[in-house]
Amino acid sequence: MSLLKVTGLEVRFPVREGILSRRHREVRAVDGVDLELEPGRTLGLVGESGCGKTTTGRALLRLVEPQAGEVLVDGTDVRKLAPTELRRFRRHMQIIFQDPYSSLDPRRTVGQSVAEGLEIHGLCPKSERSERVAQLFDRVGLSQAQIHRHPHEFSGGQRQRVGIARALAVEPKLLILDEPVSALDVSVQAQVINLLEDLQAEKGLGYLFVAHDMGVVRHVSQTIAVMYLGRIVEKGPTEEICLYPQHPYTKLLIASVPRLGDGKGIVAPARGELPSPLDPPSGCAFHPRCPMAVPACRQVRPELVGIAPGHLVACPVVSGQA
Amino acid sequence: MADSDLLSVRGLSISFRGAQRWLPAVDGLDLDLDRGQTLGLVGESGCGKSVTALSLLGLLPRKSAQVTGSIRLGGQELSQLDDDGWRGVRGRRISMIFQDPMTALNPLMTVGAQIEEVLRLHLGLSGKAARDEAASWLAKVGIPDPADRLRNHPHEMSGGMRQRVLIAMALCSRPEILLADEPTTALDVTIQAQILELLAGLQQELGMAMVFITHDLGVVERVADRIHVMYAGKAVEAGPSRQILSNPSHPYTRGLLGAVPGFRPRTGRLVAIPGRVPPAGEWPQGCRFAPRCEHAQAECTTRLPALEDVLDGTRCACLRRRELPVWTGDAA
Repeated sequence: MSLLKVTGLEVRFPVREGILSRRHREVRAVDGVDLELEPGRTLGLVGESGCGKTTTGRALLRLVEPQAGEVLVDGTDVRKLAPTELRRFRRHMQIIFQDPYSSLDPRRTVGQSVAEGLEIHGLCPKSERSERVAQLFDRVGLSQAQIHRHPHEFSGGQRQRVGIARALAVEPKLLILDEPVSALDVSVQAQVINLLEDLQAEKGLGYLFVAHDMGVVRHVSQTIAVMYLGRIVEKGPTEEICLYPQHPYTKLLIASVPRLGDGKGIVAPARGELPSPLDPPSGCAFHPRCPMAVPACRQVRPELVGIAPGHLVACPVVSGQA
Repeated sequence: MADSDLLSVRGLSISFRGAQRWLPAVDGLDLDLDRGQTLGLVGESGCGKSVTALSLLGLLPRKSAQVTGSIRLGGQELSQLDDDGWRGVRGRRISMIFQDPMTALNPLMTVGAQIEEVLRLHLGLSGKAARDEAASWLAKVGIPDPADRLRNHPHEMSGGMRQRVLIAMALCSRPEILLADEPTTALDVTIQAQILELLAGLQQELGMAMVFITHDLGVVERVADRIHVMYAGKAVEAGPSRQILSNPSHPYTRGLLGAVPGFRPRTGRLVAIPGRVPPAGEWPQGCRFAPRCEHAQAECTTRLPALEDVLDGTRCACLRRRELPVWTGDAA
């Protein structure tokens, strides 16, 4: 059984505009997303700002409520849980945010923040709690002396370690990592990535790794899903996606990353900007920027089609159906 | 090294007023920039790369920042200028663009009015001449329907478009040098490529030189002819960017290159540099990288190394530079 199986996930946000907010519109932030993740594995979810990758991660935990779809975590349908059941179930799935500074309570010591989950879920007797927190600090590479400090006394990398310790406290099976290293300097970023990988190997955690950095995602994931305007446009084994991208958007994304060894000079692989999610293009949302678009792309919204084992592409031109 | 005829910085040191004492941010930096060339300043947060740029524009507050050393622009010494003197340089001979164009633009003024203000101040243009010139600059930076866009406010534009406006404002006075401080860091990667291409094209067209500040090694390789790798206020390695990025000498440069994931198929764990960048005021004695360096010996903790020639025009500030293992590309 998969650790995570998501089918047809949809999240819509109401947008009010006009005088007295009389016009109501909707943004389809996540528009029919399917994902699957095995224990001990990492699925990378990549895309540019506004593509819906962060909302997808939050919707899995119901931090934003999805309007449709099924989210199975270890066989439990998260969307069917009542509020109290959901709170109890959250110990199995935790999230780590980009900026641990805004996700830690500035008035509590970091030790208290880490212990909070143990307390809420009643996971260890009060007498053993401080010892358990000390173990967690040790495991994420923080010193015992730091347990009683406040978040502002830590550097960005150390705060991210606190965030990891807090998530691990409740012994989850699934971690949603939302841009966990993008606010960190390169040398510290590597430390945090290595720590996350060690913890995964040790505890068999499943990671949904949400990021915009193709290099980071390539390094950490076994499978990559590429998102564009609320939909997954390509999904497959990491090296296949990075070396032989098929969807024109994936190709654009990969070609845009400045890689070491290419030397001086730059040619932008595409013109134009991301369309507004409020007013997405008809048919395939990528067609206005796509060098391969045919007239049908303007009308028909493409579905994901398998083109190799485990490799799916939502482009009829690529899969030979146009 | 011979002084450059365009920009030549010698012994630049910057410190900021702390609660008890002056805290050093940049310590004895030398820079040279020739016409039409791009110099990359690379390093992690706190290495001093952004304050260096601010000092080249005389933008550091006199009361709380101490700047010493020589900054020569085309033979003119800038470091002794008063406020009036700086106004003749700033935005006219040296311009700057920033990471976040939203905070660099005035939210209450149309982008047209902001570009026209620069044209009036530096080129004495006004009225229709200024408006036409502003529109032609919007076209030059790749903004469609420039005449209409002049009437937009910054919030009506995307991040990429705002950065284009900022570039137009910085370049419409035809400066000799553009300081670009992480100009694409806040942008999506497909937009970043467009902005980098635009900057390279304008640089060629206008014949200007550029100081490009970034933490991204992939970006710096694409834009820079020469680079300075900075760590805790000092350049630890300097030279042609190709040479340094393909065959780095300094353990810190090697560490940075090993820490960047995803340039090639995964071979194993990332090479993480242990510890973190020391904050200003906590710089160690001797080589500032020594506490994090796997090659450090006793001497490294007492003697501060200077930049010395290594090979092919690159210079490296490491006491052990001749004894380090050959760079293989995957380990520090």
